[in-house]
Amino acid sequence: MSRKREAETEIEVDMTPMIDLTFLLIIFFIIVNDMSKKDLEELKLPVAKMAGHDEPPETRPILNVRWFPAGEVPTFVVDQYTALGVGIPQDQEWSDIVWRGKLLYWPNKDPKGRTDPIRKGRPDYYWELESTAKDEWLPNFAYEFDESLKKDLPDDPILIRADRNTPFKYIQKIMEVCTREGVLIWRVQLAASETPEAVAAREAAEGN
Amino acid sequence: MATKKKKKRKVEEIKPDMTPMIDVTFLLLVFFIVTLKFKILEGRLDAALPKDRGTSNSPAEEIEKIDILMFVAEPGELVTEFSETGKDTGLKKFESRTIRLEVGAKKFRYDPMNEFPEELRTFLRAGLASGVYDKSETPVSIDARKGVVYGDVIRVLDVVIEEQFEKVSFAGTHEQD
Repeated sequence: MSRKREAETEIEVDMTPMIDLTFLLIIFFIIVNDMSKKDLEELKLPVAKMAGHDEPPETRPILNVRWFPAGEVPTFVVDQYTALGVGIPQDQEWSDIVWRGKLLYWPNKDPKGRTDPIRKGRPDYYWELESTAKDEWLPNFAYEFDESLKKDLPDDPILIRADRNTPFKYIQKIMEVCTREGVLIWRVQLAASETPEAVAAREAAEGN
Repeated sequence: MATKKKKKRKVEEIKPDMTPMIDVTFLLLVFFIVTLKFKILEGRLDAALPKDRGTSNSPAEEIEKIDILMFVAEPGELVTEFSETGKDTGLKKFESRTIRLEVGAKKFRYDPMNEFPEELRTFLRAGLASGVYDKSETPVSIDARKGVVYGDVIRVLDVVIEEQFEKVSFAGTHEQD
């Protein structure tokens, strides 16, 4: 009798500990997965010794400057522009700006035909950056009265993250847009990677 | 007969089928593992832009200031970067590149991929020590010319900030597009 029973018994593994563990792992990964990363494009930043550790304020705009050598545009970037219906140059190096996944610059002229306020007669390639700054960033910025200029100026910074090989003229153009009439953002931060020594030193200091 | 049936029901344990739940849970787990990217260690360097460009009618003050001009002396070559184990990182870096800095009549050269402009540091320190420059008063302007890249500027900016100059700003570009 007992033998027969043995043969019929199914092997039942107790799943409870495994499910417990799996849920624990899921919760861990959800927490560790920092959702704020969506603002950051994949870029190789230069290294700087004095790069202060960055605790990003929520409202600070992050401008990602991507750079592509002539004829070396990755497929996913080509797809981004194809979706917009915009052609991209293949025979020369070029750069674009990404803010929260939105492409703010490409070698494309302003549909309204406005010209660059500094380079008279040249097309304004940065009109969309200017309008984004005015419409989306400045309303969230704090203002402070400047004694010498006798007017209110935005007192919050923007962060420029650029690939280390990006020609600096593209960053200078962003800075020029910041100084345009009606924008006047004067605080800029440039992103850089911390050196491994600096990271180790900071972690040691935090541990104490 | 009826009582017997009732008794049997009481004894039976409820055993829900766990398989679908475990399937879903594993799927979620795999998703989160795959999408996980550890927080990139990033820092920043603070700088400022001229507040009054094109809008000011206040008279310019005569003050000692440091204009750092950056030129490309040797453009070098953009090559694929390999990791220490010889793996292709998919990144590009410059090799045998030289940047020339000009501060007034002084000229300094450095390799932006491998070193910091130490001569510039020495020059700034000498200026601070002799009282020609003042950390919190003397404006430093970085004027990057044709061909200079972001990484080159960060090296210079890093040295200027390390020497604790507080008023660091940038010049606009001379290039058309």
